[in-house]
Amino acid sequence: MNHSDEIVSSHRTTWELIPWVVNGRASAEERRIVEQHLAECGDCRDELAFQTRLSSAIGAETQPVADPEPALQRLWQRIDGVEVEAPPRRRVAGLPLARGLLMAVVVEAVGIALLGGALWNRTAPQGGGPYVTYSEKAPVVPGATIHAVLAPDLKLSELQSLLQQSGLQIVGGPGDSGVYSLAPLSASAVASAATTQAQLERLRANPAVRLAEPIETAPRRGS
Amino acid sequence: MADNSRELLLLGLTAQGDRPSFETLYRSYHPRLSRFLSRLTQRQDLVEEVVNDTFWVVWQKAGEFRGTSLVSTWIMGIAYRCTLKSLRRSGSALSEPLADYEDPAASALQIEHELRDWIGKGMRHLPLEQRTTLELAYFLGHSCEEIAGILDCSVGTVKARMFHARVKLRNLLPSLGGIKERDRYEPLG
Ligand SMILES: [Zn+2]
Repeated sequence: MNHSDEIVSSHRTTWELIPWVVNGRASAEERRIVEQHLAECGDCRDELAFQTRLSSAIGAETQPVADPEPALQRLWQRIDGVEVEAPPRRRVAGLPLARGLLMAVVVEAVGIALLGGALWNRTAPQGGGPYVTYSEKAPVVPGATIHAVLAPDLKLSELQSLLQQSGLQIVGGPGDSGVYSLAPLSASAVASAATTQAQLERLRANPAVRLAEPIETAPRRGS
Repeated sequence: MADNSRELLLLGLTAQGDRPSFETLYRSYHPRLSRFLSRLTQRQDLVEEVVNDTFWVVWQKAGEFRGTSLVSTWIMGIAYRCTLKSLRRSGSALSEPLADYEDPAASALQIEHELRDWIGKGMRHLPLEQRTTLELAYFLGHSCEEIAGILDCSVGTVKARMFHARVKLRNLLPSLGGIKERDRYEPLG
Protein backbone atom coordinates (compact mmCIF):
# COMPACT_ATOMS: atom_id res chain seq x y z
CA MET A 1 0.00 0.00 0.00
CA ASN A 2 1.39 3.38 -0.90
CA HIS A 3 0.82 6.42 1.22
CA SER A 4 -2.31 7.69 -0.55
CA ASP A 5 -3.91 4.23 -0.38
CA GLU A 6 -3.26 4.24 3.33
CA ILE A 7 -4.93 7.60 3.68
CA VAL A 8 -7.97 6.42 1.71
CA SER A 9 -8.19 3.30 3.84
CA SER A 10 -7.88 5.11 7.14
CA HIS A 11 -10.34 7.72 5.90
CA ARG A 12 -12.94 5.02 5.26
CA THR A 13 -12.29 3.32 8.56
CA THR A 14 -12.48 6.59 10.44
CA TRP A 15 -15.61 7.75 8.67
CA GLU A 16 -17.30 4.50 9.64
CA LEU A 17 -16.11 4.71 13.25
CA ILE A 18 -17.10 8.32 13.89
CA PRO A 19 -20.63 7.62 15.24
CA TRP A 20 -19.25 5.13 17.76
CA VAL A 21 -16.62 7.61 18.89
CA VAL A 22 -19.37 10.21 19.27
CA ASN A 23 -21.58 7.93 21.36
CA GLY A 24 -18.67 6.68 23.42
CA ARG A 25 -18.93 3.04 22.37
CA ALA A 26 -15.79 2.79 20.22
CA SER A 27 -12.93 0.78 21.72
CA ALA A 28 -9.70 2.43 22.81
CA GLU A 29 -7.99 1.08 19.72
CA GLU A 30 -10.73 2.44 17.46
CA ARG A 31 -10.51 5.83 19.14
CA ARG A 32 -6.78 5.83 18.58
CA ILE A 33 -7.22 5.14 14.85
CA VAL A 34 -9.77 7.94 14.57
CA GLU A 35 -7.71 10.49 16.47
CA GLN A 36 -4.67 9.75 14.38
CA HIS A 37 -6.59 10.22 11.16
CA LEU A 38 -8.43 13.35 12.32
CA ALA A 39 -5.13 15.13 12.66
CA GLU A 40 -4.67 14.91 8.91
CA CYS A 41 -8.22 15.03 7.51
CA GLY A 42 -10.42 18.11 7.55
CA ASP A 43 -13.40 16.22 6.07
CA CYS A 44 -13.42 13.77 8.95
CA ARG A 45 -13.10 16.61 11.46
CA ASP A 46 -16.16 18.21 9.86
CA GLU A 47 -17.99 14.92 9.95
CA LEU A 48 -17.12 14.42 13.59
CA ALA A 49 -18.43 17.91 14.36
CA PHE A 50 -21.62 17.20 12.40
CA GLN A 51 -22.23 13.86 14.10
CA THR A 52 -21.54 15.40 17.49
CA ARG A 53 -24.19 18.04 16.82
CA LEU A 54 -26.58 15.48 15.48
CA SER A 55 -26.04 13.26 18.48
CA SER A 56 -26.56 16.02 21.00
CA ALA A 57 -29.66 17.20 19.15
CA ILE A 58 -31.05 13.66 19.19
CA GLY A 59 -29.96 13.10 22.77
CA ALA A 60 -31.36 16.39 24.08
CA GLU A 61 -34.90 15.29 24.74
CA THR A 62 -37.10 17.93 26.25
CA GLN A 63 -40.41 16.22 25.70
CA PRO A 64 -41.89 15.15 29.04
CA VAL A 65 -42.93 11.53 29.39
CA ALA A 66 -46.07 10.24 31.00
CA ASP A 67 -46.22 8.90 34.54
CA PRO A 68 -45.52 5.16 34.23
CA GLU A 69 -47.89 4.10 37.03
CA PRO A 70 -51.27 4.25 35.24
CA ALA A 71 -49.79 2.40 32.26
CA LEU A 72 -48.26 -0.18 34.58
CA GLN A 73 -51.63 -0.72 36.27
CA ARG A 74 -53.23 -1.28 32.87
CA LEU A 75 -50.52 -3.78 32.03
CA TRP A 76 -51.23 -5.72 35.24
CA GLN A 77 -54.92 -5.79 34.36
CA ARG A 78 -54.03 -7.22 31.00
CA ILE A 79 -51.62 -9.77 32.45
CA ASP A 80 -54.04 -10.85 35.16
CA GLY A 81 -56.86 -11.08 32.66
CA VAL A 82 -54.80 -13.53 30.65
CA GLU A 83 -53.46 -15.49 33.58
CA VAL A 84 -56.87 -16.21 35.00
CA GLU A 85 -57.64 -18.12 31.83
CA ALA A 86 -54.24 -19.53 30.97
CA PRO A 87 -51.50 -19.63 33.57
CA PRO A 88 -48.13 -19.18 31.86
CA ARG A 89 -45.84 -22.14 31.67
CA ARG A 90 -43.40 -20.84 34.23
CA ARG A 91 -45.85 -21.50 37.04
CA VAL A 92 -45.58 -25.19 36.27
CA ALA A 93 -42.87 -27.29 37.83
CA GLY A 94 -39.69 -27.35 35.78
CA LEU A 95 -37.04 -24.78 35.34
CA PRO A 96 -36.54 -22.58 32.32
CA LEU A 97 -32.86 -21.85 31.92
CA ALA A 98 -32.95 -18.28 33.11
CA ARG A 99 -33.89 -19.55 36.53
CA GLY A 100 -30.72 -21.56 36.73
CA LEU A 101 -28.73 -18.66 38.10
CA LEU A 102 -31.18 -17.97 40.87
CA MET A 103 -31.67 -21.61 41.65
CA ALA A 104 -27.93 -22.00 42.00
CA VAL A 105 -28.01 -19.22 44.55
CA VAL A 106 -30.89 -20.92 46.34
CA VAL A 107 -29.35 -24.35 46.44
CA GLU A 108 -26.15 -23.01 47.89
CA ALA A 109 -28.07 -20.80 50.27
CA VAL A 110 -29.63 -23.76 52.00
CA GLY A 111 -27.13 -23.37 54.81
CA ILE A 112 -28.37 -19.86 55.36
CA ALA A 113 -31.92 -21.08 55.18
CA LEU A 114 -31.21 -23.07 58.32
CA LEU A 115 -31.43 -19.81 60.19
CA GLY A 116 -34.90 -21.12 60.82
CA GLY A 117 -37.55 -19.39 62.84
CA ALA A 118 -38.80 -16.69 60.59
CA LEU A 119 -38.26 -18.59 57.36
CA TRP A 120 -41.25 -19.86 55.60
CA ASN A 121 -41.87 -23.49 54.94
CA ARG A 122 -39.86 -24.84 52.05
CA THR A 123 -41.71 -28.09 51.66
CA ALA A 124 -44.06 -28.57 48.76
CA PRO A 125 -47.70 -27.88 49.43
CA GLN A 126 -50.15 -30.77 49.16
CA GLY A 127 -50.79 -31.61 45.55
CA GLY A 128 -48.23 -29.07 44.39
CA GLY A 129 -45.08 -29.64 42.43
CA PRO A 130 -41.66 -29.40 44.02
CA TYR A 131 -41.22 -25.80 42.89
CA VAL A 132 -43.27 -23.03 44.35
CA THR A 133 -43.02 -19.68 42.68
CA TYR A 134 -42.09 -16.66 44.66
CA SER A 135 -45.29 -14.81 43.89
CA GLU A 136 -47.42 -17.70 45.08
CA LYS A 137 -45.50 -18.65 48.16
CA ALA A 138 -43.96 -15.37 49.19
CA PRO A 139 -46.44 -12.56 49.13
CA VAL A 140 -45.18 -9.47 50.85
CA VAL A 141 -44.54 -10.45 54.45
CA PRO A 142 -46.18 -7.98 56.82
CA GLY A 143 -43.64 -5.46 58.04
CA ALA A 144 -41.07 -6.40 55.39
CA THR A 145 -39.54 -3.41 53.62
CA ILE A 146 -36.77 -4.91 51.51
CA HIS A 147 -36.26 -7.92 49.26
CA ALA A 148 -32.69 -9.16 48.99
CA VAL A 149 -30.77 -11.89 47.22
CA LEU A 150 -27.53 -12.83 48.93
CA ALA A 151 -24.32 -14.45 47.76
CA PRO A 152 -24.48 -18.21 48.32
CA ASP A 153 -21.12 -18.28 50.05
CA LEU A 154 -22.08 -15.68 52.62
CA LYS A 155 -21.22 -17.03 56.05
CA LEU A 156 -23.82 -17.06 58.76
CA SER A 157 -21.74 -14.78 60.97
CA GLU A 158 -21.26 -12.31 58.10
CA LEU A 159 -24.97 -12.36 57.39
CA GLN A 160 -25.75 -11.65 61.01
CA SER A 161 -23.35 -8.73 61.24
CA LEU A 162 -24.56 -7.32 57.91
CA LEU A 163 -28.14 -7.39 59.15
CA GLN A 164 -27.22 -5.90 62.49
CA GLN A 165 -25.30 -3.06 60.87
CA SER A 166 -28.22 -2.35 58.59
CA GLY A 167 -30.75 -2.54 61.40
CA LEU A 168 -32.62 -5.30 59.62
CA GLN A 169 -33.90 -8.76 60.36
CA ILE A 170 -35.08 -11.62 58.20
CA VAL A 171 -38.83 -12.01 58.27
CA GLY A 172 -39.21 -14.25 55.26
CA GLY A 173 -37.32 -16.25 52.67
CA PRO A 174 -35.30 -17.37 50.96
CA GLY A 175 -37.85 -19.90 49.74
CA ASP A 176 -37.27 -21.42 46.33
CA SER A 177 -36.64 -18.06 44.73
CA GLY A 178 -33.66 -17.18 46.92
CA VAL A 179 -35.27 -13.93 47.95
CA TYR A 180 -35.18 -12.81 51.55
CA SER A 181 -37.77 -10.47 53.01
CA LEU A 182 -36.17 -8.06 55.44
CA ALA A 183 -37.79 -5.80 58.01
CA PRO A 184 -36.50 -3.13 60.40
CA LEU A 185 -34.85 -4.71 63.44
CA SER A 186 -36.94 -3.07 66.08
CA ALA A 187 -40.55 -4.15 65.97
CA SER A 188 -41.61 -0.65 66.91
CA ALA A 189 -39.48 1.01 64.27
CA VAL A 190 -41.50 2.87 61.69
CA ALA A 191 -40.18 2.05 58.24
CA SER A 192 -39.81 5.51 56.77
CA ALA A 193 -38.77 5.78 53.15
CA ALA A 194 -35.53 7.46 54.21
CA THR A 195 -34.66 4.68 56.66
CA THR A 196 -35.36 2.06 54.04
CA GLN A 197 -33.26 3.96 51.52
CA ALA A 198 -30.34 4.15 53.94
CA GLN A 199 -30.64 0.45 54.68
CA LEU A 200 -30.77 -0.34 50.96
CA GLU A 201 -27.60 1.63 50.39
CA ARG A 202 -25.86 -0.17 53.21
CA LEU A 203 -26.91 -3.54 51.80
CA ARG A 204 -25.96 -2.66 48.24
CA ALA A 205 -22.54 -1.50 49.39
CA ASN A 206 -21.83 -5.05 50.50
CA PRO A 207 -20.59 -7.23 47.64
CA ALA A 208 -22.31 -10.27 49.16
CA VAL A 209 -25.66 -8.64 48.48
CA ARG A 210 -26.57 -9.58 44.92
CA LEU A 211 -29.79 -7.63 44.83
CA ALA A 212 -31.64 -5.38 47.25
CA GLU A 213 -34.90 -3.76 46.25
CA PRO A 214 -37.48 -1.86 48.28
CA ILE A 215 -40.83 -3.55 48.66
CA GLU A 216 -43.48 -1.32 47.21
CA THR A 217 -46.01 -0.29 49.80
CA ALA A 218 -48.69 0.60 47.28
CA PRO A 219 -51.52 -1.95 47.21
CA ARG A 220 -50.89 -4.57 44.61
CA ARG A 221 -53.10 -7.11 43.04
CA GLY A 222 -52.53 -10.49 44.61
CA SER A 223 -51.63 -13.48 42.53
CA MET B 1 -23.39 -2.03 30.36
CA ALA B 2 -22.79 -2.04 34.08
CA ASP B 3 -26.49 -2.42 34.84
CA ASN B 4 -26.69 -5.80 33.20
CA SER B 5 -26.07 -8.03 36.21
CA ARG B 6 -28.73 -6.16 38.16
CA GLU B 7 -31.16 -6.40 35.27
CA LEU B 8 -30.33 -10.07 34.89
CA LEU B 9 -31.38 -10.69 38.47
CA LEU B 10 -34.53 -8.64 38.08
CA LEU B 11 -35.37 -10.61 34.96
CA GLY B 12 -34.63 -13.89 36.72
CA LEU B 13 -37.03 -12.94 39.49
CA THR B 14 -39.57 -11.82 36.92
CA ALA B 15 -39.32 -15.27 35.35
CA GLN B 16 -40.51 -16.62 38.67
CA GLY B 17 -43.48 -14.30 38.70
CA ASP B 18 -42.00 -11.77 41.11
CA ARG B 19 -44.02 -8.63 40.55
CA PRO B 20 -41.87 -6.07 42.38
CA SER B 21 -38.85 -7.06 40.26
CA PHE B 22 -40.90 -6.77 37.10
CA GLU B 23 -42.19 -3.37 38.20
CA THR B 24 -38.66 -2.19 38.90
CA LEU B 25 -37.65 -3.17 35.39
CA TYR B 26 -40.75 -1.55 33.93
CA ARG B 27 -40.19 1.73 35.74
CA SER B 28 -36.54 1.87 34.79
CA TYR B 29 -37.31 1.32 31.09
CA HIS B 30 -40.49 3.36 30.85
CA PRO B 31 -38.98 6.86 30.39
CA ARG B 32 -36.34 6.02 27.80
CA LEU B 33 -38.57 3.55 26.00
CA SER B 34 -41.42 6.08 25.82
CA ARG B 35 -39.17 8.77 24.41
CA PHE B 36 -37.55 6.36 22.00
CA LEU B 37 -40.92 5.11 20.78
CA SER B 38 -42.53 8.50 20.44
CA ARG B 39 -39.63 9.61 18.26
CA LEU B 40 -39.58 6.41 16.29
CA THR B 41 -43.30 6.17 15.61
CA GLN B 42 -44.12 9.89 15.62
CA ARG B 43 -47.37 8.65 17.09
CA GLN B 44 -47.94 9.68 20.69
CA ASP B 45 -51.07 7.54 20.80
CA LEU B 46 -49.08 4.36 20.16
CA VAL B 47 -46.43 4.85 22.81
CA GLU B 48 -48.13 3.32 25.83
CA GLU B 49 -49.53 0.52 23.71
CA VAL B 50 -46.07 -0.44 22.48
CA VAL B 51 -44.43 -0.05 25.90
CA ASN B 52 -47.04 -2.38 27.37
CA ASP B 53 -46.89 -4.82 24.44
CA THR B 54 -43.14 -4.95 25.02
CA PHE B 55 -43.39 -5.58 28.74
CA TRP B 56 -46.21 -8.03 28.27
CA VAL B 57 -43.76 -10.07 26.19
CA VAL B 58 -41.04 -9.52 28.83
CA TRP B 59 -43.39 -10.92 31.50
CA GLN B 60 -44.33 -13.90 29.35
CA LYS B 61 -40.85 -14.71 28.04
CA ALA B 62 -38.56 -13.77 30.92
CA GLY B 63 -37.97 -17.45 31.58
CA GLU B 64 -36.76 -17.99 28.03
CA PHE B 65 -34.03 -15.37 28.16
CA ARG B 66 -30.76 -17.22 27.65
CA GLY B 67 -28.35 -14.49 28.66
CA THR B 68 -26.61 -14.54 25.29
CA SER B 69 -27.09 -10.78 24.98
CA LEU B 70 -27.50 -7.90 27.37
CA VAL B 71 -30.92 -7.65 28.98
CA SER B 72 -31.27 -4.16 27.49
CA THR B 73 -30.53 -5.48 24.00
CA TRP B 74 -33.15 -8.17 24.46
CA ILE B 75 -35.80 -5.74 25.69
CA MET B 76 -35.10 -3.14 23.00
CA GLY B 77 -35.30 -5.89 20.36
CA ILE B 78 -38.75 -6.84 21.65
CA ALA B 79 -39.72 -3.15 21.62
CA TYR B 80 -38.61 -2.80 18.01
CA ARG B 81 -40.63 -5.81 16.90
CA CYS B 82 -43.67 -4.59 18.85
CA THR B 83 -43.28 -1.19 17.18
CA LEU B 84 -43.32 -2.73 13.72
CA LYS B 85 -46.42 -4.77 14.56
CA SER B 86 -48.23 -1.85 16.09
CA LEU B 87 -47.49 0.46 13.19
CA ARG B 88 -48.64 -2.16 10.73
CA ARG B 89 -51.80 -2.72 12.72
CA SER B 90 -52.56 0.98 12.88
CA GLY B 91 -51.99 1.37 9.17
CA SER B 92 -49.09 3.80 9.42
CA ALA B 93 -46.94 3.84 6.34
CA LEU B 94 -43.85 2.78 8.05
CA SER B 95 -40.78 2.44 6.06
CA GLU B 96 -42.00 5.18 3.75
CA PRO B 97 -40.15 8.36 4.49
CA LEU B 98 -42.11 11.59 4.07
CA ALA B 99 -42.41 12.62 0.45
CA ASP B 100 -41.98 16.35 0.61
CA TYR B 101 -39.92 18.63 2.69
CA GLU B 102 -39.90 22.35 3.33
CA ASP B 103 -36.87 24.14 2.01
CA PRO B 104 -34.26 23.52 4.67
CA ALA B 105 -32.11 26.36 3.42
CA ALA B 106 -34.84 28.75 4.56
CA SER B 107 -33.99 27.88 8.14
CA ALA B 108 -30.25 28.21 7.75
CA LEU B 109 -29.82 30.57 10.65
CA GLN B 110 -31.07 28.52 13.50
CA ILE B 111 -30.75 28.94 17.18
CA GLU B 112 -30.03 25.74 19.03
CA HIS B 113 -33.53 24.48 19.75
CA GLU B 114 -34.65 25.21 16.22
CA LEU B 115 -31.71 23.20 14.98
CA ARG B 116 -32.94 20.29 17.04
CA ASP B 117 -36.41 20.67 15.64
CA TRP B 118 -35.02 20.84 12.18
CA ILE B 119 -32.91 17.73 12.63
CA GLY B 120 -36.07 16.02 13.83
CA LYS B 121 -37.67 16.91 10.52
CA GLY B 122 -34.67 15.58 8.66
CA MET B 123 -34.89 12.35 10.65
CA ARG B 124 -38.48 11.84 9.54
CA HIS B 125 -37.24 11.54 5.99
CA LEU B 126 -35.22 8.48 6.82
CA PRO B 127 -36.66 4.98 6.44
CA LEU B 128 -37.64 3.51 9.79
CA GLU B 129 -34.68 1.16 10.06
CA GLN B 130 -32.18 3.95 9.45
CA ARG B 131 -33.91 6.25 11.90
CA THR B 132 -34.02 3.47 14.47
CA THR B 133 -30.32 2.84 14.02
CA LEU B 134 -29.50 6.51 14.64
CA GLU B 135 -31.80 6.73 17.65
CA LEU B 136 -30.35 3.57 19.17
CA ALA B 137 -26.83 4.92 18.73
CA TYR B 138 -27.35 8.56 19.66
CA PHE B 139 -30.38 8.58 21.91
CA LEU B 140 -29.84 5.33 23.79
CA GLY B 141 -26.07 5.00 23.33
CA HIS B 142 -25.99 1.42 22.07
CA SER B 143 -22.90 -0.01 20.38
CA CYS B 144 -22.87 -1.24 16.81
CA GLU B 145 -22.96 -4.88 17.98
CA GLU B 146 -25.84 -4.23 20.38
CA ILE B 147 -27.86 -2.56 17.64
CA ALA B 148 -27.29 -5.59 15.43
CA GLY B 149 -28.73 -7.71 18.25
CA ILE B 150 -31.72 -5.41 18.76
CA LEU B 151 -32.61 -5.19 15.08
CA ASP B 152 -31.72 -8.83 14.49
CA CYS B 153 -29.39 -8.03 11.61
CA SER B 154 -25.65 -8.23 10.94
CA VAL B 155 -23.12 -5.68 12.12
CA GLY B 156 -22.48 -4.95 8.44
CA THR B 157 -26.13 -4.05 7.99
CA VAL B 158 -25.99 -1.68 10.96
CA LYS B 159 -22.95 0.01 9.43
CA ALA B 160 -24.67 0.28 6.06
CA ARG B 161 -27.82 1.78 7.60
CA MET B 162 -25.75 4.23 9.55
CA PHE B 163 -23.86 5.15 6.40
CA HIS B 164 -27.03 5.80 4.38
CA ALA B 165 -28.65 7.71 7.22
CA ARG B 166 -25.63 9.98 7.54
CA VAL B 167 -25.38 10.64 3.82
CA LYS B 168 -29.08 11.39 3.62
CA LEU B 169 -29.01 13.76 6.58
CA ARG B 170 -26.02 15.52 5.07
CA ASN B 171 -28.08 16.16 1.95
CA LEU B 172 -31.22 17.08 3.86
CA LEU B 173 -29.43 19.49 6.13
CA PRO B 174 -27.41 21.62 3.75
CA SER B 175 -27.14 24.54 6.15
CA LEU B 176 -24.60 22.38 7.85
CA GLY B 177 -22.29 24.91 6.21
CA GLY B 178 -23.50 27.32 8.85
CA ILE B 179 -22.64 24.82 11.52
CA LYS B 180 -19.22 24.38 10.03
CA GLU B 181 -18.59 28.10 10.17
CA ARG B 182 -19.14 28.05 13.89
CA ASP B 183 -17.24 24.85 14.31
CA ARG B 184 -14.04 26.43 13.04
CA TYR B 185 -13.85 28.00 16.44
CA GLU B 186 -14.65 24.82 18.32
CA PRO B 187 -13.60 22.11 15.87
CA LEU B 188 -14.58 19.09 17.95
CA GLY B 189 -17.87 20.50 19.15
ZN1 LIG C 1 -10.86 11.46 6.56
